[in-house]
Amino acid sequence: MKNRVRTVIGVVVGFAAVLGLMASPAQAVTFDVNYSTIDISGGMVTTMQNDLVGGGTPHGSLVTTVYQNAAHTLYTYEAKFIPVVNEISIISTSFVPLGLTGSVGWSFQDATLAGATSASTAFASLLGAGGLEWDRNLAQDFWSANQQMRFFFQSTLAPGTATFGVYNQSNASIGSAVGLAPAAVPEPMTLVLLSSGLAVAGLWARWGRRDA
Amino acid sequence: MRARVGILGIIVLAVALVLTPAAASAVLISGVDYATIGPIGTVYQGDVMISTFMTSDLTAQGGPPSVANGQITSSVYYNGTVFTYVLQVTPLQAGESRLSTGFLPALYNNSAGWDFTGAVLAGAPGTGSTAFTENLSSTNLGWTKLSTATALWDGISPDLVTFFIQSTVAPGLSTYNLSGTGLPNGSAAGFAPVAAAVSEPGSLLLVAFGVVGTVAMASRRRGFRANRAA
Repeated sequence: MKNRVRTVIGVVVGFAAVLGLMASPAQAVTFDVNYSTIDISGGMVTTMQNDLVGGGTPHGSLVTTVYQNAAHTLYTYEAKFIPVVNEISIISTSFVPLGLTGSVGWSFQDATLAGATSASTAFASLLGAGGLEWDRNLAQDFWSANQQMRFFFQSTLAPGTATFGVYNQSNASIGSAVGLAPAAVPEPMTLVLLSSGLAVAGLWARWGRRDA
Repeated sequence: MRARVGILGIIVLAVALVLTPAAASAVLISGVDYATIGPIGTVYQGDVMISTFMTSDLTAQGGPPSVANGQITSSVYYNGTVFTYVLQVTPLQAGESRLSTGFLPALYNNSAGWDFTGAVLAGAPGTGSTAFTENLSSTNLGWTKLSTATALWDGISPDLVTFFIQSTVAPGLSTYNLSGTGLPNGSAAGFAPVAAAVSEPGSLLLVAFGVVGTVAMASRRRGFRANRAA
């Protein structure tokens, strides 16, 4: 009986350790940041391009590109929208980015080039119930067709290679496209720790049997 | 004589330009409370339609298939002067934040808005007057949810909000869009003030005068030349 209790305790401790390691700690995020201030000097990780589709007609293109910082500890997800329609009013993701941290914002340079009178208030970024959102400042008249606008967020997680996220734009028509998104892939160290926990639990159970 | 024809042409062009509706630039307009717009008359020719907002099919890109993200009931009322397009919108999930039209409506006295009381019942703070920001761009009309109104359209019933548009343009069919996070944006068909514009009798009369005048001038010119040649 005593051994069974020990075994159960061992398994519970192992699971708790694993769950504790897998849980993403809530991290502070700064919104409305200028993209040009972000460190992406670690180089490009990968990129993906898709058409923005909706209602059977083309609405432009989406290019998502992931960069790393110099220390290779942070991934920056850039979403470049080039609509073929005027005055996009809202950009959003259909997913809450895993490992979201650091900064969220847009390219102030792109906003200025697209005619925004105040690039720092051209959009308002926020984390909504189902993802990130960049609401255009409707008091400013800017962003015509075929003008690029880069939005970004940062994550501690690398982009998935099999699972992606959906990005959206909206004005008089809607457009959505699949792009790169952070994936919850266990890191090697996590796997090592998981194995260690299971091994300890197994040994504990074995010691219990030997004592009996 | 040539000068006269030239002047006539300029006048005709000027009249045409004045009669052509100008495209509006993007402006924020004040949302009107649905409860204050007075008698809207009765349902026009039975125009009531229930539609579902459907998201884009992204399976070709390795994404999700088309799904429903909301419902809209569009109804048209007519009081003898103005058509009122009533749009009852219910998102099917939390995260939706913007309703927009797929067309540029010709508004009657800038009259468009939502039911303030209904918005409060759906979770908007205060009197509901700030629940949405209303924007008329060069392409469409949109209502963006107040970002701090987290209880509004939170996926918990009731989430129905009634929007409206007033116009003198008779109903046709167009699209409405529901955008936000969580699911891709969706669009749905509904009644909208997009019926083909019918020229007013006054406009037709002006065009007729212009044509008659041009023909008369040309006729006089031919007669003058014939006389000179003789």
